[in-house]
Amino acid sequence: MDFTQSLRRMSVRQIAQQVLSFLLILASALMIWKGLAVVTNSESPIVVVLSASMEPAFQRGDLLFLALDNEPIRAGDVVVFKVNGKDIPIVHRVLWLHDDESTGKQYLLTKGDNNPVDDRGLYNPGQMWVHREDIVGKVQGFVPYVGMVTIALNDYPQLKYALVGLLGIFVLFSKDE
Amino acid sequence: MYSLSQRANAVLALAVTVACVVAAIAAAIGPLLSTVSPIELATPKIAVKRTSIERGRLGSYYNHHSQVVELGIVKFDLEADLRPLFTWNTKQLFVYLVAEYETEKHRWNQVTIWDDIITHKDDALISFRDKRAEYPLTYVENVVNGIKANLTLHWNTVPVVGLMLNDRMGSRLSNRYSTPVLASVQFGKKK
Repeated sequence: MDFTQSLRRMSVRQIAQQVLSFLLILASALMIWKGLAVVTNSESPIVVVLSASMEPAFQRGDLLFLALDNEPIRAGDVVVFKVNGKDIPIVHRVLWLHDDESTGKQYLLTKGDNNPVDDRGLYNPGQMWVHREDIVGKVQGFVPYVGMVTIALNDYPQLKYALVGLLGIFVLFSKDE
Repeated sequence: MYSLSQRANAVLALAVTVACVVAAIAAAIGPLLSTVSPIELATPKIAVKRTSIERGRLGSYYNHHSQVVELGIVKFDLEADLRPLFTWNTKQLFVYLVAEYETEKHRWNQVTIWDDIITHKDDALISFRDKRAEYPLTYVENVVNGIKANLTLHWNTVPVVGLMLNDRMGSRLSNRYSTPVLASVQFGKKK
């Protein structure tokens, strides 16, 4: 009853203002995310660990901060990379690398700490190495457990819609007096 | 003015803020302490017992059609005391032995031949003899004969919260510990 009453009391202008402030929040969140991507030189500067292949270092649900500097990648770096053609980023450690100085190409082999074998089974068939172009970023630091929210949202998409719907209702019906 | 939802909101906001500040302080203390009082480590001892070249397939777990390549097998002794690296903010220590070498076509090559995960401070006293390397030394061009490699010990400190730190001993890339080469390995005869 309260909702419909307050809705009738609002003019079109007020509703438009509320929608605008909502969009402003979305836009500033997007700006912060993209700004972070520029500063760290990585297209996805914060990722969530999805699998247990790097245990006990990274548990499922940890948040990782990535950055990609101009330093060459060295063996032992924990990197996040994407196999050409596959969407899912993988966070594993670089096991072997060979730098070709003439072409500037780096041949990298990765392996998850908790996996018994290296990642060649995860690469495309016939692919033996990944290269620097496949690397999204090097792991610089991390925060445990915080990423569980993303995993919950991914596993239960209804939660995503419910959350956005709730937020929308609160923003639209909060009166600024 | 003091409804239940507002009180819950205030409590949650305070809790999240406090958690963030505590995490930031914990993350910052580690690097600060290490610059103020750097950790002193004894030089680890590596002795190469035996090197051999075998022929085998790589990645045979998944890829049954890979070609037969030359593999360099190393047997070594390792003695290292890494216990000082374990602080209250250390979750685990990832220790790995890297063979670094240079060839004409590729100026810089690093092959990890052994790695280990250490989660307790007492396990950080490493000492074993005649250990066969976990991974063979290989090369992109699939020929290992004639390669001379330097063995260096690296470690990766994974904190409970904060920045990850990589460090090494006995490497040409050494930044803090400039010690001479720990051990070197020669496969086959120099051409």
